Amino acid sequence: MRISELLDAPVVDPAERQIGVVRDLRVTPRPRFQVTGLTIGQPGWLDRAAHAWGFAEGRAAAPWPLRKLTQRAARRARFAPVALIGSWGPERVVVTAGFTSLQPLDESS
Amino acid sequence: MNRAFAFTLGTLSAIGGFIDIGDLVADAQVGARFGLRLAWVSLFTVAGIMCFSEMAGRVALKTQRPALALARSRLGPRFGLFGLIGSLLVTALLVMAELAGVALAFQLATSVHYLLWVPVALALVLLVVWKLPFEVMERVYGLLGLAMLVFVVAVWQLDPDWSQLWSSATTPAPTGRETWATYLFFLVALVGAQMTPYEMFFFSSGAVDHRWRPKDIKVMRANVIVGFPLGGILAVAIQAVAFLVFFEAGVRVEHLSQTALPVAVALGKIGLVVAIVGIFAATFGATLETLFASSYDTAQYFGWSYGKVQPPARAARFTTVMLALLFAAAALALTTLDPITVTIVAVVCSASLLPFLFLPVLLVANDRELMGELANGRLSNAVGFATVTVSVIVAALAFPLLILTKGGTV
Amino acid sequence: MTEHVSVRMTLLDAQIVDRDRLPIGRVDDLELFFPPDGGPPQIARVLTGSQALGKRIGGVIGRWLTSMSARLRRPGSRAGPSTFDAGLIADTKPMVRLRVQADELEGIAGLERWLASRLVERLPGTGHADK
Repeated sequence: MRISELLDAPVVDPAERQIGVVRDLRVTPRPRFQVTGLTIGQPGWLDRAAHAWGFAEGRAAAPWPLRKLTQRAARRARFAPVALIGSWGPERVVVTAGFTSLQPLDESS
Repeated sequence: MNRAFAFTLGTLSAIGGFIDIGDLVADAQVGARFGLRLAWVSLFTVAGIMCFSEMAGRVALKTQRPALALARSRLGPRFGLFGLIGSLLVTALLVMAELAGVALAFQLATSVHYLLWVPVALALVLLVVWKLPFEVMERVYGLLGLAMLVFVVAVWQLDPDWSQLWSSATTPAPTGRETWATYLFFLVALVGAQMTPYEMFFFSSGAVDHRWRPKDIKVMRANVIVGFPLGGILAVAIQAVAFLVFFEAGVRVEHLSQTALPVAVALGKIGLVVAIVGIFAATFGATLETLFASSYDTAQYFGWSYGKVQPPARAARFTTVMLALLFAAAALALTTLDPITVTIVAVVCSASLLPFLFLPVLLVANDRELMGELANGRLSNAVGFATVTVSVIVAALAFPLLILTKGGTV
Repeated sequence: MTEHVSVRMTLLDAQIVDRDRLPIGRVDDLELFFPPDGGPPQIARVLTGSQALGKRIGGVIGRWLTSMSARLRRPGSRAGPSTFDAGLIADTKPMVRLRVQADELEGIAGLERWLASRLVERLPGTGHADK
């Protein structure tokens, strides 16, 4: 499977309810690049921008208006460690836990 | 390289980069039709391009890569490609206009029609691209471009009524015989002509080529602070002389050769000769710079190796893109399309692409993991964000105004 | 928590250079490998070139890019996009640097070589390095 197929794929909980979309993958540094988990966001262009522009990751905090604009999306971002992922697939990714039990992205690094 | 020398060079390329065929045409047209009523736009464009050149320079110092190389990861490949295709199309138009500008300089010198000079200009560009190291090119045309300062001298020689110039400059509204639509249209054109993306691009890749490091940040900033405002003053001077010579008579700038006429009126033959040298250097330098900038953009988007540091055969795709653009532009110039119209359309299209170039640089410069202590401060972010916001508005207005005013001809 | 990095910020879309810092391409996509024992997936291969990029861009332009680039690649090479082993990556900061030379990679930058031999090298004056 290619990473591009996984990005933007819907994420569902065990009850098949959609809890978000895949925005990013985290991997261990080289040489093995083992996947440690998925970054989960919500559908929508603003949410997409929050992840692409580095605000959700906490890499950037400015300019202020852009941070404000993406703040909600950044707060909603979650990290699902690889142990919680039941099945991978371009159609959907199953997470074996509810949305509320996932940790916020900014606390995961 | 000696620091003082490096400083002079950077300043020269900033001035040289600021003025090209777009400014010659747009500023002259604006001066003839609106006087100095759009001169305030230069305050904004100079501040904006200074801010983004400094930002791009900083990214280059820290990452050893031109700022736009990182754009694709921020905008995604789709928007990145959109921006790339757009800028290639604009470049083809711009290079066509620049070639016409080079040919014009020959026409002014020889009285032979400029179309006959286009192939000569093309041959010269090819020769220089193939044979001259990049740094030499940059210096020679930066230095010769200083001849454009003759436009500033011409303002004094025309002995203007300074209070009239001042009152025109402080009236941000169209004159009685113009509409708000054309006023706004030329505002967009001025933004496109003065904030050319390749200035920012050149500034940052110049920093990479000269192997500047974070400790060179002062030299880099000094260049920005001196170079770009001088370019802005030149742009306003072109507007002022066109105002003084054409406005009262109601003459519209419809031929390239008219852009140099005010200098001839003010300073006679010697002035004209200097102006010809300046126009030649500015347009020839800009031809090379726009060509290189868009070939670099293409190469960087796809990750290809790119030219001038590698011999052409090592950077075959880069070289091919550049040659294709150059020949397309030359062919376009020979179709007898009016260079004035093409220039205005090109600078307006170029203005509409600015958000795609500014936004990623602003985002990258704020990435603290990448930039560390060189990440943006408050001033850069305030000016940068304001510039991006204005560029989005300008981009949104560009095409409606282009159609509404039929390219400013109404 | 173990140290981990974002794929989008460190790998995807990053510039690839070879051992001698010669640009090769971009990380246009990455292939995941799922170990049969059910362990965590790994990044196995790096995809580079317009064929992989076109798929990500999608739409008419993306399809055109994919088919163009597939057609341009020399007959005989595999039909899929060009890839190399992710294990060749020596460094990811500030760009992806490989531990091998560009020439050691098979089927990468085919258009570059084709244009070099068919077009650019035949032009006068290309033998000279500029610096």
